[in-house]
Amino acid sequence: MELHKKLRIDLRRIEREMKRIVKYDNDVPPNSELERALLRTIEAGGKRLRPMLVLVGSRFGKRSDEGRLVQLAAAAEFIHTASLIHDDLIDRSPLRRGEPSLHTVIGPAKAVYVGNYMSARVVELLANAEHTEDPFGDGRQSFTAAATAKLCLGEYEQLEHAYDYNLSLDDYLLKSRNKTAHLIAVSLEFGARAAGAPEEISSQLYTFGEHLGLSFQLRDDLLDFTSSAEQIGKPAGSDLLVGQVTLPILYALEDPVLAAEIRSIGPTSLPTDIQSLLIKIRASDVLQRAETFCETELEQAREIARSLKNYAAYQDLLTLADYFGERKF
Amino acid sequence: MAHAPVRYFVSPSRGALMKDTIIREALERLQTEIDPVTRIRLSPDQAALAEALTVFERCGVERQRLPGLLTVYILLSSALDRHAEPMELEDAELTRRILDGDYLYSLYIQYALKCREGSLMRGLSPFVKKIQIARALGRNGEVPLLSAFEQVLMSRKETR
Repeated sequence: MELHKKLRIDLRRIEREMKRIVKYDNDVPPNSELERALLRTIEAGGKRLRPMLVLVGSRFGKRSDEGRLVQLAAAAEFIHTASLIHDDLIDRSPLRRGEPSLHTVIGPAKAVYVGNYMSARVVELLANAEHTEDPFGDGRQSFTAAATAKLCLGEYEQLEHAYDYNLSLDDYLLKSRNKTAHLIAVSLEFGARAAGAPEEISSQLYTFGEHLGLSFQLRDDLLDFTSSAEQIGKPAGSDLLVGQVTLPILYALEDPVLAAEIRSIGPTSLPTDIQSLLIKIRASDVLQRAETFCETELEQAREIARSLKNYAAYQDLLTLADYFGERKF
Repeated sequence: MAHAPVRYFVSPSRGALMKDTIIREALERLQTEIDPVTRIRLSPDQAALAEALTVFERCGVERQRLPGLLTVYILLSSALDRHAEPMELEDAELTRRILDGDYLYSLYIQYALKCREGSLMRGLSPFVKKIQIARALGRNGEVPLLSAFEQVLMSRKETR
């Protein structure tokens, strides 16, 4: 069964809300290139994990303003989608989910502005609501800023450490928490807050999301070695080739023979240069060790879920942990 | 006997000195706020900052609020500058420009809330969005940022 069905979430409603956010913006000319680009991006789909996390988080609160929660869920996907549009440009990636990425269709500058519009629109929509619902009374939290500042820092860290084979495990984990885990954690946390959940529960959900998000990144790292281009939309070993030092690589660097081959990979290396290394890494124990790390993160997430047994929605957290553990693409 | 030429020094006005102090304070705040991993170094045009302060004062902004407000202004204007055209795939700086613009924009929101300028940020949000729309549609004549600040600050002054 698909995740959204297991979680009893109507994804069509979220997609309708995303389109509504665009179509009800009087400042966007109907049928303009901007509107078409936005709708095309929304219709291209995606896992819609972040909106689902917002809605699961909201089940830990008592306030049930459905419309407002769906809007926040759609906002989370807007922020994520904007970051993907910019990511594709940063990585010079011509494809997204097997289709031409936005910048190849409308050009780099316009693609940047489509992403910027999505962020700016979310700020405009949520600003007033955040003001009235702010639990601290001083407006010190904003979903948009909370979601994107660390995401950028994760990108900078990745850039800083490209082909850095002396990267420490701590630096790798910090980058992964910033780049991937944080937005997942924030989606759960803000969903809970928007529904008026107690602050300590929202914080626990953040920690649950951090473990979940880290396992998500670790799974991505593993899929770079174990999946086909058809499954993940890029050739196996792509991370290795562009100098991303992931957990399997860190483990492989402990083996002197593998380390020597890895250290020879640089910005001018070609896909053919890494084929024999990929085979050796697959034959070694590094993928199993990374898998164990991933499973440990998920078990820590499950432990937090079980500590929230007083809430019926704790089962949904376990469902999420199981889904993240079984993800194949 | 030849006399040495008499030089008349025109001392800067108190207003100009105050502006220099505020600009310095705002730049110090920026250095504290920007994460070193980004390696972002901002060197905004001093004359433009002095002009911004003139506008803020005209809108009745109190002295103690000015350094924070100027910091917010620098963050947002720098974010918009980083994403200004041209943007070409071949540009070696494109990656950094995209990241810097995104980071400075999120820092602008964070900092506005931190120094209790949330109301200003909310007022500015439609202007910022319209700037992005104008850019996405390739239209000239986006609203100048300082004019947007002025409109929002004036409207807040009137409703006080």
